Amino acid sequence: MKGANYWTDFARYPTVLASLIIVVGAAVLALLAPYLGLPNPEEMAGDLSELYVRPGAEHWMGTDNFGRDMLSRVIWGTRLAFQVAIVASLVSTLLGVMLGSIAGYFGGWVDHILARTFDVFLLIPAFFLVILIVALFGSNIYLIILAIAITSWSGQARIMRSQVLTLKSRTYVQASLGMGSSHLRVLFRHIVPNGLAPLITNGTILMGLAILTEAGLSFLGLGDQSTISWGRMIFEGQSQLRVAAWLVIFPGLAMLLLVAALNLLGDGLNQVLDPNLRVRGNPEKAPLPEGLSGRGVAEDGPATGRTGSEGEGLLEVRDLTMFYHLGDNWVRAVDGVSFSLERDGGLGIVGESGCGKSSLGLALMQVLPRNAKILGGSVRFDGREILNAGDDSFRSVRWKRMSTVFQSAMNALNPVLKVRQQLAEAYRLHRPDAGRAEVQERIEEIFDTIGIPRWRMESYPHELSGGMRQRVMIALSLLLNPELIIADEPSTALDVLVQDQILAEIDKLRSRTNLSLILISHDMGTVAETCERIAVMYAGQLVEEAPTDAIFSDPRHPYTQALVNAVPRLTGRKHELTSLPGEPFVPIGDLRGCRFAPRCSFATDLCRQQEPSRQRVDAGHISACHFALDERIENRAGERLLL
Amino acid sequence: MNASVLLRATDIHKTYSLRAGFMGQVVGRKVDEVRAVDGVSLELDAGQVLALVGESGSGKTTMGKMVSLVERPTAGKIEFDGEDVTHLSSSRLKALRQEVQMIFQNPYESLDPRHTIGTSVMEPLIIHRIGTKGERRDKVEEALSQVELRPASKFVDRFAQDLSGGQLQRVSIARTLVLAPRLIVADEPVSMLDVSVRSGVMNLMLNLQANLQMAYFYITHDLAVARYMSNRIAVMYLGVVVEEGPTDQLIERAAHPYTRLLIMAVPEHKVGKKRRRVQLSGEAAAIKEIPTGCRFHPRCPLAKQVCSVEEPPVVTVAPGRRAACHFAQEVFDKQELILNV
Repeated sequence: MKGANYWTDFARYPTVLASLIIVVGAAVLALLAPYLGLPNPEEMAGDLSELYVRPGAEHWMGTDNFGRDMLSRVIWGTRLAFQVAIVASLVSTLLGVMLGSIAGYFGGWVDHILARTFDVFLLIPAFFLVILIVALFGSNIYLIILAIAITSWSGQARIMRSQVLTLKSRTYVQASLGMGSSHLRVLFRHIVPNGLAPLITNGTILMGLAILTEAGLSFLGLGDQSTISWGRMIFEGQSQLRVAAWLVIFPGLAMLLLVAALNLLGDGLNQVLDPNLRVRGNPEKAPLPEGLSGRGVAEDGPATGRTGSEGEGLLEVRDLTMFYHLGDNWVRAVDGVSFSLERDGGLGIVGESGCGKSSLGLALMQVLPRNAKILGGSVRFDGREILNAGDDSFRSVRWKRMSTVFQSAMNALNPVLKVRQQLAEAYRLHRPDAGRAEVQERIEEIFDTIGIPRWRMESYPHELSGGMRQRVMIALSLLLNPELIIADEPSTALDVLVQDQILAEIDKLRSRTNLSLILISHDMGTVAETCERIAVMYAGQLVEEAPTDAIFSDPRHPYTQALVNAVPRLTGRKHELTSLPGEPFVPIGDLRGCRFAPRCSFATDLCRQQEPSRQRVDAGHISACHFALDERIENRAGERLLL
Repeated sequence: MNASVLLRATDIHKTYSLRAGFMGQVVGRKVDEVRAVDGVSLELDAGQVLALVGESGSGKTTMGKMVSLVERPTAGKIEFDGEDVTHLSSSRLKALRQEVQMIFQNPYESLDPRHTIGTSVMEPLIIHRIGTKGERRDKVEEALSQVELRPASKFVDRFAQDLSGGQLQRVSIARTLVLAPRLIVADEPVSMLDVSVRSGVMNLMLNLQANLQMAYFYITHDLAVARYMSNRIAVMYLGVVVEEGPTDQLIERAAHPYTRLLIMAVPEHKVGKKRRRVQLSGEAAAIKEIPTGCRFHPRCPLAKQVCSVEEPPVVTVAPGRRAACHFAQEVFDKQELILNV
């Protein structure tokens, strides 16, 4: 099954496929050479009547100065090329795997000695060492192969060592040791097999290099005189270049083709074996799933049938749809999401990983990953359409009126700039004519607001604790006094005491200014304490939206009910946690029915056939469940043990 | 003391030296030391669950490596079933591994991606040369169905990449079960799982623990999870245990200011009630620069002069309850004490 995957991956890269065909073809030729009816060049006496015959029907590649058929010489030369390539590459890879893995795994002084040895070997100019060996011990093909291996193994060893260094801390390695495995078992069962991929790639490229080195030696007249090698053919042919260029051209071409193919194959193997290098889907070229052609991105103005009047909130989201193109599929990350947020309001968006909550945040800020595409819907900010309304129009809103706090503060801050510089840069980007004093004043002001000591301005991000970095991120988002902040898990990576401090700062900000907040989190508790309303997402859709108290005391979607009852609590009576069967649903391709149905204990045929519409449970309480108003669901909500 | 004590760790220390490198050592550069665990004593009775709670950098994971003998302590004694196992030879240690098993935090990395589920679960049996081929296969299938991966035959030939996080963690649990261990050291086994899947794994672990009479050494940062899973809780801060006691009592009425603050800071929805956020003045201390006296004093709202000078004694505030604080008794006596932060 795994093999099949590799083959389809190969097929994606035509150059790789072509190089594979060339290499395999050459190998077959080399193996079959004795059976092709071609005369063995070693036994070929040569025909003195056929000296220097030009390439033609009789002799495809002509004949040489002894009247020997070049085609058969070139094909027999393939045998030697492969011998050199395979043995040299194999020996150096074996040496590299053994010494590299020992160095990486055992570390300490073993590693010190071995790693320095690799470095020394890497410093030796390969070709000169080979020449030296040949000069000292004579020109024997096995010696030449050995010499090539000796100059190339240290590269393999270094790759293996670094592979082992990362792999040995993998949990499965720790687990196996914890079960009582011996070091050797762990090394050769778990570490080396998982680290071989780049060595295979490099080994393939080494094969090409070995062929070139052998040819180079032969060309210099240092090759083994008893072998039929392409290098020797070129060496012998060069003196007759004017008379019979084909003597050089054909072996040269053969070598070029094989070496180039080996290198391409090496790169291709790298692509196939390393999933990180695989290309993701291209949303511009892929056909859309059915039933979506009707949806479109709203135009600005009255064409949407809505005007920015009568009680519209700060943010009005209608049918927002954003898909990811992954492989050959569309993942419906955000699928027809609608909600509104009042001025001063706080909305929490909760859901499990992969439910689309972070994608929703990205779509709202219109910072899309390369393989994502907004397929429809409308986002109105303060009465104006901002979705695809042209870059300029959104630029006037982004960061100035609507900004975001990212989850990973360490990745979002530039490690080589001081905090003050980064804030100043962001400020000047949006207020280009701001003076030095104004910028400084604003940064000081914002630092005071967030509770960061002013002297921290001169720190680099790595000098700050996790909590401080997160504060800097919040300061960055507040720099231009926005009206709305979208915060995606702003406190998740922090310890609980620090988290509470950060959330307290957000609380204070909200009460002091008219800041609206969208808080995206997996943690029901965090969201509940920070926001007045909660929206629950499942498989790309909003399944329930209600005031915070109602989400906990009267949840009307079976998924919300399950979520609320699945979280252990610190206070109140201990009760058994409920869990859902199965796994979160991944919305891919064309779908029918309710996405939660496979895990829902209330699911009926209706649920499996028809997508539920949004049911109004109460004022401001909406549930996308066919049975939101059904007694059973209502009773289940009441069962929720008030703690 | 008690005959049923399964695991006893006494005054465990673990110091890591941040090496100056080979050349650095030659020229005599100073070697930095990090005291990850600094004098921890714990006991775990057979068939019980002890939760070790702490924030990042508290040394809880290091402590887990110590009690499972993946790493040996720099100083101190670890006894398993009455036997001193701190310095066991590697062959005796291998035998002990059958009794002490581990579950790790990251389910996606716990299984070798090149092995099938069946091979992974069978590995402990192969390492310890238990059973014939057929018996091993039976044991693997039995373990898989114990963790509710049914039908087991459907799972044995699949690879880790085909399974979800919750299923992978169940496989990890199954892998520990084939050896019928008496102690499982679980380091944040559910923290990477989604809420709706996490509760299922927690319930499974509790059921297995009750049915198979195993003991868990359960490491977590989440007090609510610790409450759900354990009989006793030990709270660690910067390498030491600051408080220990029966789960319900400890959460009801913590005797150490740090524990109280931890409990106060857990965000939880209570209908109609609004919790006060905890806002400490100091920053979280790093393990590299441990404060003098009480390690918590720079952040502690109750800190007095003595706290910055003297290391606090371990006070037994009630039977089975101990806390390392100069004012432990006072904090313990005032159940309604709300720390002024």
